Amino acid sequence: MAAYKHSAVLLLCCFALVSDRTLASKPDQNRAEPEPGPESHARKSDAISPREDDSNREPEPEPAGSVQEDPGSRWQATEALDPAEEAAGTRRRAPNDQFQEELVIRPLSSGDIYSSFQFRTRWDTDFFKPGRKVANYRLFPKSLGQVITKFSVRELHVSFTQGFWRTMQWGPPFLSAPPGAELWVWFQDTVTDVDGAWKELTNVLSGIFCASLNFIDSTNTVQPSASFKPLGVGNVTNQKFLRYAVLPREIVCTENLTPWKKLLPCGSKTGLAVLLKSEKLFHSSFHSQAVHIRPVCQNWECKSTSWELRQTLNVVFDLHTSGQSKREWSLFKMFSRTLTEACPLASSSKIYVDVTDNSQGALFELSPSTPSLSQAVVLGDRRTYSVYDLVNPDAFGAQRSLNILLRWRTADSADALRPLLHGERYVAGYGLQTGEIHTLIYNNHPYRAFPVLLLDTVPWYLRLYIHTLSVTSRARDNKPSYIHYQPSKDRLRPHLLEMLLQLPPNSVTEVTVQFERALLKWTEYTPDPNHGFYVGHSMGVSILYSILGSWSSVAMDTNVCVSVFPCKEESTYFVRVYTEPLLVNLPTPDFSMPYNVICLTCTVVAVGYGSLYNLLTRTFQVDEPSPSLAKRLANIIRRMRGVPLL
Amino acid sequence: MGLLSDPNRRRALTNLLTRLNTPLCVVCYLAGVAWFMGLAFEPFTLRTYMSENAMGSTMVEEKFGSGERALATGREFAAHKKKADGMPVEWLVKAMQSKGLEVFTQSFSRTLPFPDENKERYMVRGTNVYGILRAPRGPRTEALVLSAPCSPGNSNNQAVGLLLGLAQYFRGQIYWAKDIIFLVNEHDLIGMQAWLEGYHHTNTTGMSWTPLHGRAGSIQSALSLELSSDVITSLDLVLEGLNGQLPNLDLANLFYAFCQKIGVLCTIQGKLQRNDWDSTSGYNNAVQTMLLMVLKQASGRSWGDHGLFLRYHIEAATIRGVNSFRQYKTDATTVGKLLEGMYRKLNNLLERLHQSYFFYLLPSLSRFVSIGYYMPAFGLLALILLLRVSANTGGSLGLVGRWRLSADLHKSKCKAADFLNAQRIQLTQAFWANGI
Repeated sequence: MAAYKHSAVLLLCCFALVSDRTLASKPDQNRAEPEPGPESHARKSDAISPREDDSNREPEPEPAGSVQEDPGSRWQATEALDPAEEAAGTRRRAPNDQFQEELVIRPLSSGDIYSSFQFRTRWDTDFFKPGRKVANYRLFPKSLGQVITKFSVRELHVSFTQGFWRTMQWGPPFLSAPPGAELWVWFQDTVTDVDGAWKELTNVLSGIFCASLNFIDSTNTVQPSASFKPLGVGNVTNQKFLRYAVLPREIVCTENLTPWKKLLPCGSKTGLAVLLKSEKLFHSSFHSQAVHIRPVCQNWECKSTSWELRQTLNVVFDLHTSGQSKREWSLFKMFSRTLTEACPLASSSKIYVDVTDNSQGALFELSPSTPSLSQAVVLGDRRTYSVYDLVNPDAFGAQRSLNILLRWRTADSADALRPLLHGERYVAGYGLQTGEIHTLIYNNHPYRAFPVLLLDTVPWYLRLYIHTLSVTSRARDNKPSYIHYQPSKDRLRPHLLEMLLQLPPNSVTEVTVQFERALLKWTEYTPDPNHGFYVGHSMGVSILYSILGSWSSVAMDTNVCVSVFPCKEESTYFVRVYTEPLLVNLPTPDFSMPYNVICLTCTVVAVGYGSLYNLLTRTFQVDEPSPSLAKRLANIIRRMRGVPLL
Repeated sequence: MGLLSDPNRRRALTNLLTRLNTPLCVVCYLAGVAWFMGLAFEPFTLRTYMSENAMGSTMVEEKFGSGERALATGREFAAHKKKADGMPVEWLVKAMQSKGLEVFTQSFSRTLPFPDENKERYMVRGTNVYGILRAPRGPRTEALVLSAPCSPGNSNNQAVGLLLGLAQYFRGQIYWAKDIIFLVNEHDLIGMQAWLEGYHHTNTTGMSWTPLHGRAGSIQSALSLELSSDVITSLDLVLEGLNGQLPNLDLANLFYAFCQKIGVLCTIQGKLQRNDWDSTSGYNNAVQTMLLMVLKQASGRSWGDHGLFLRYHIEAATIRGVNSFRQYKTDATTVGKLLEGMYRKLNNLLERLHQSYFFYLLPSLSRFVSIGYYMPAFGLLALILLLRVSANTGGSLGLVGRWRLSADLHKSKCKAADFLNAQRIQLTQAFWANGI
């Protein structure tokens, strides 16, 4: 017990760390945004996504000014456009909702290309104001607004992913997501029946996104104790209102994409969304689409909140399967469309191309070239982006159409930057009785150790032998400082295992646990039982130290930082690492057997039961040999006389 | 149920068994052998058919066309193999990487109880190289394996070349739903065993190996390719694995179907299928093929690299190219097309191969004998043992003896009848009490 208490204390410390860092460094954190002044409004209109937002940050001078003061600078910050917008903003009454769209293109060292769309809708409204029903929707999709109102949702994060992000080849993703469908929801603390609301919500979402989310039930829902924090405003972290579920088997295709596109204010008619053609998006190596809803602060004081809806879509196109010999990519090649206009409803519409490694144009050639560059720190790494502003008609050139072309100069692929953290998972052993789940977490940092909070959910039909749980790194026992284990209940709930591990630098940490495969009831098998049963991924949450951390304060010019992604000058950032799901074979009866079984049982019953029944009902009698004629006559006479027979 | 309750008939049967014991044994023996031999007779056997719907037809347009280039790669591999005097690890890693695979290596070592045939050493060290083709939008849960052994001397270079050629071609296709692992294993079975143990993280042989760093989920099926010449006359299918285990019959069916489609001569046990089943030589051929299969299974050893997969519930077979003096030659492009077709069909699998038979004998590739047909022959032979036992225990088996007792009850007639009736009532009560 003492040990447990000790670990609990450690845990609290860690939580403090995690929550702090989460709030500070998570891309999506939006704690207090400077809003009311025209300056900050302008700044916001430029910002794309999850904005940075430290509450302790001083309102800074308009970056445009600082750049313009230095005409020799080659960084033409995108903020330079701001005064115009600012003026427009002051003239008419600013609507209380706005929409921004952006596309980030990152050429990967393997020759593949990574495109990340982000559509962000913000609405300054309160869905839960008593006595007032929100009915007048403009940009925010009504279907989701009604869901928020009806189920008192505080935060909703749902992602549909087809494929596994290849961290070792592609580097870390902007937003990671596990294969299949993942849903996690924070409910308002006014909700009394959380499980009931969750059940209904999953069914409604299932309808909205045309996905099998209705298969979420108590057997795959967990309440993680430490791995999730709300990403929006509010400090309530009572895990009672959190639900998390994963469907690793979910297959994502056009029927999920279409409803997702319909949530956009411009649909797929204009703007960046015209690029989202399913025949190309599903001709790729990786496809992930997500919807994130959360409340964010409306202004600096954070007295009232507004709702933010972020729709993201990430796709990686593969060089080898694109059927081309030349190493070049263009918007047309990727999406079979070019861009002709921005979405008229969008307050900002931009394309960013990552040119960090291409400082002198040595690696690839970008056309049409754009003079505006911006810098941002993404996932602990300072990146430089070429920016195409679609609101500005000049971006489309004389042809009235924008087709960004990226031609590689070198033919061979470079070595990818090794990600600091990555995870792997597999099932060891053979046979259908027992097995062992191995989870490997790599820390590739040369000298820093990282704490990682590992979340594992395992379905009940794998019976974990939790006493065999072992954590080793560098062939030595690595004692987790916190373990939260909730055993499964057959047919009711899954195993939940959360551990706080310290990963030594440059090491592999291996978590193993043995399990026994349960024999299911015959109606519990899926229609394809020999395919195997899916076991969800395990997830590691960690705070990483930026490689810029040590010198950022000296070298970074914070003013030119454009927030493509959280523009943080922090020395740490927050990542989630997912491992692959598992496919486990359970002992499966031969379902073509019933005929044989029926024949066999009938025979056994007929032979066994029949003979036994025969024995039981038969009366045994002494078999008299038939008496001779004389004897029979004598007996007749004896009967008449009344004396005993012979 | 007269047998159980009628003492007289029971006694008659027992007497018959005792009296005719030896002739019965002889008859059983002859019937068993005759039955078994009859299995190879074509009209008595069933035609093979594909049970798995997902692999139903061979409707695949094979487009693999770079057989010549694959052979050139094979020659390059041979040169590097010679230079390195063993597995050219670096070259192979680079070659696989340039084809767009994720490449990993595994080194292993094993102390042998007896010296090695070629080099007379007790310690065998080697390295396996494998590259994983990641399926587009695949969650890394299922995989197929194509392996080729890196054999000493001049053999099997073409297999490695074809493997690399297929890897390059497969990498450019979008339709893969399962990851494909291209494995080149050193020291044949030892390397394969090391790789399989590493992949499944087990250790059953006391071998030491370095852990694998790349995996692709559960392996659904595997093929091992052995090819030692640029052109071949026929392809031989090897099914017998460790301890007589066999892969699912659908794998053999798949191979046969594609051989038929592409027009490659295919053999099993090195014997070509013949059409003259009604002639003696045709029948002899079938019997020999079937008996060879029985013998190979009885030997318990693995007759190809595939045999070690079977323990892990992975359906696997070895395809061996044979170059004899026949006129009709097949080039590497055609073999590549055959493998392409097979992998595309395996890629379509929704479940593991389980629909068809796991216990079977093959008198030819197009005919099979299922367990239901060969078990009677075995049953007849096993019956002899039972008969001999009954003869040696004084003409009565245990059960028979007990019921003979009841026949003797004639002597104490009334008492016995009362006793039995009492027993019956008690038994009935007991059954009712137990709710039957």
